[in-house]
Amino acid sequence: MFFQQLINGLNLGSAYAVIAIGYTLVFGVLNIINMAHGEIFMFGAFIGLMLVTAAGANIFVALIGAMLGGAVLGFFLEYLALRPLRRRKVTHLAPLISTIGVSIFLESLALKIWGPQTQSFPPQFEGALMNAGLFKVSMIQIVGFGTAIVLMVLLTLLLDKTKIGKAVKATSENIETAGLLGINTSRIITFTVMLASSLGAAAGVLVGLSFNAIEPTMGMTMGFKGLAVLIMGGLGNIRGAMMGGFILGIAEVFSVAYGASSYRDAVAFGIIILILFFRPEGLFSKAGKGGRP
Amino acid sequence: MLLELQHVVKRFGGVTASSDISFSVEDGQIYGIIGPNGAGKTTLFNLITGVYQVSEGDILFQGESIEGKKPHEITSLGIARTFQNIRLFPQMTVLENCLVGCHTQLHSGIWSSVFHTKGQKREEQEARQRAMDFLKFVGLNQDAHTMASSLPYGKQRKLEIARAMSTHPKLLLLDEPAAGMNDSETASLGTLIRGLRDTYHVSILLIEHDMNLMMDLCDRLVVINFGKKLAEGTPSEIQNNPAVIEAYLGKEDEE
Amino acid sequence: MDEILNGYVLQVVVFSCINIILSLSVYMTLCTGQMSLGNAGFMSVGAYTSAILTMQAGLPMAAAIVLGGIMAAAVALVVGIPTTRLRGMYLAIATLGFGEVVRVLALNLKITNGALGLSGIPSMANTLGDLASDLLDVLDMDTQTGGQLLMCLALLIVVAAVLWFWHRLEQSRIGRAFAAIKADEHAAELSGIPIVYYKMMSFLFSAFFAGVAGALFAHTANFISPTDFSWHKVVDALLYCVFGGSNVMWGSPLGAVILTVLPELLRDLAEYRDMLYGIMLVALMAFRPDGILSYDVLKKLHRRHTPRAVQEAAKEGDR
Repeated sequence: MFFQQLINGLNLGSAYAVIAIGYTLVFGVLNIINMAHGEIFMFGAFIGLMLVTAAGANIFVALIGAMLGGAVLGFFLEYLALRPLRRRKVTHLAPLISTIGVSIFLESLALKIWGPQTQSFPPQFEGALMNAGLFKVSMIQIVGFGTAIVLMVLLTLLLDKTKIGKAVKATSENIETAGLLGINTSRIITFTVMLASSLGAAAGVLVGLSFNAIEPTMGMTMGFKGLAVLIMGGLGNIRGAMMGGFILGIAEVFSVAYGASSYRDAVAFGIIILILFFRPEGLFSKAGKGGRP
Repeated sequence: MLLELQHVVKRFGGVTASSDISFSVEDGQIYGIIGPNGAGKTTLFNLITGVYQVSEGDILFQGESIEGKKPHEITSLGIARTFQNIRLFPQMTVLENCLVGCHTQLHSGIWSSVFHTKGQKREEQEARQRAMDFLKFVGLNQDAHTMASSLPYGKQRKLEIARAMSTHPKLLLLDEPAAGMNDSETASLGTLIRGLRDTYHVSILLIEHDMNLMMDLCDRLVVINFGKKLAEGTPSEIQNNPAVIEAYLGKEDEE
Repeated sequence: MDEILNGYVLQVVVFSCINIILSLSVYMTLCTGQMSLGNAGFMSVGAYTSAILTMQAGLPMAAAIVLGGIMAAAVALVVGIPTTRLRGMYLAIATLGFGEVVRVLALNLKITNGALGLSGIPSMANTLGDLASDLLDVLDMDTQTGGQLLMCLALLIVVAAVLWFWHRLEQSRIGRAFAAIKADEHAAELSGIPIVYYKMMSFLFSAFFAGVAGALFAHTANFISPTDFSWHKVVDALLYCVFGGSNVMWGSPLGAVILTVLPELLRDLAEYRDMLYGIMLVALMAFRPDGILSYDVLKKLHRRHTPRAVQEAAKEGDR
């Protein structure tokens, strides 16, 4: 029982981690919270679903298609809702409000296109079940978890090893300095938002696969949980977001398993409020960073 | 003794911004801090006003430690400051900027604020009068109802001083008040600063790069370099101090 | 007369009033440069508190409504203590999370009757109609219409009182402190303003009035369920405030009235409402972040309505 729940928690947590990385990447370069991230996640799930059901694509093709779709959405998000705000002096709340607008728009667009009912992927990898004695792992879980891990590893490599990844890191560190060093920060911002959005869309497909329930309102719920993970890991901290995702996943699964199933959606925010009380800089940030001006 | 810094050390991570700095300002003094850019002068202001906490040492104001106090508490104790890069409230009028400075002097709570009680009205009236006095003193009374953002640069600097004075300080910290001013403006600023001291009995701690102004204005000076105290004394002592000449004044000549 | 006072128009007036109070509650935190996204949660706390107090404890409605607001403020104190100390977007995220927690609680608790919600909440129209039955007899009105009319009147009075309260507050030392914190937190703190205290104050007022709006909603709709206080409610309130003008108090009531009445007139577009609202939020931020009413617009209006002689005199007085 315990190990089974742990496996389920890790599986769910890996999806949360991928979502939260999207938030934290954007926060890093722009210092804003992209409230539309959850809806891009939801669109990713639907694009993947359409590719599988309508186009008969393989699930991995669908995943890549969803990521491309997410990147396109990310481009428009940046171009229409974020870039205009950078040109003029606005308060730090403006991007928050603007992306809330995008999220509401995308959610009702999805309702219009796909309707309010819950849809699901046709069964994948049927029957394949590994039994390791203490726990059982389904093939879907392995694929979902594996894909999430591969995405995180690829992202880490991208940020650490490639030129554009280093530019993203430099821009998050200090946008002015990065600009002075000859980095085209505007292009890096667009790239980062697109990257974050494609990760969000990928998480959509993964969650859609594991839970077999895709609906327009899923963006909001999952988006909010991603935010919880963002706070848990510390704003702008990628490794923190990964760890936070797993912690939330496991915490939720256990709260369901041990009798508080109807409160599972409140677990995330209970954690937020506790963290803000005791460790507002996040669980995994180095002390001394941030704080006073 | 009004203000006393005792072996103040401030570290940011591994970097020491101020190391072992001690000096003291007496009642009624105009006290100058000089040193090259990045020497840690503004850091000292941030330590004195509670924006940063000292890593070691202590800061005493009127004989009491201000260690651990919040910036607004220190302001109510009687230390006010201006900023190197002007930080006014741009969408408020000149008078309103000063009235914000009066905040610590006023006491109306929610109830009296909403119902405009007699006491609140009198208090507001007095605050207005006082704010206008300070504005007149710095020469801004005609601009009282102008938006702060639409003031020319020199007047914005003066408004910062008036706003700081509105908090009724015993010690006024001025961070490069003459920056960006021409010679005649700088001269009149010197007169203004001396006037503040003489009229309102406020002591002044001043950071400034204009050597002529500093030597003319200050009763005593401290020289900071690389976060360390290099010398302290009267203007003439400083001018004749070999270490200072080498480290700082000498450099100016080379330029 | 009957046409104007038909139930439908009165209904729109009632919704407008509640929406005005709700969007003012969003504005109140924006006054100190913070954003609260938990107003639906506070509304929910106020609504359930007031409904339960009247239904189960038999408290008079007016007292229950005020207690609903106080309850919301008390809850806000708990959420606010960790978050108002922090800068930037923490309050927004924490209150967003808070709203979700409240929703999940309301869905699961026994006393809130879960997803079914509470029905049969004492109606304000009936209460007021009974109270003033003698008067209504004299006016030859039946209690039904009369009660509805009195309810509208009562709500308008509440709205006026809230506006008056906040207007006076803004004109005072406290209002100046709010504005200074919004303009430059650091400079405000060094001018002697305890910023945490005032941020907390604006947040508590915001929660209180959101709670009152919720309580009023409960007693005018007579039925509440967790779906009434969803995230969409927050987005609506935020849009009212931003559309009308988030920098001046009069912006929120203007935005709330326009955006409550307009959808009623444009029924055909109802299914595209959320899409349009989303586009509006993005477009407002890009092209007119100050909304309809900004400082400048207000100043111009003010000048136009002040007779020239008074202006001249004012100028003279300054010299």
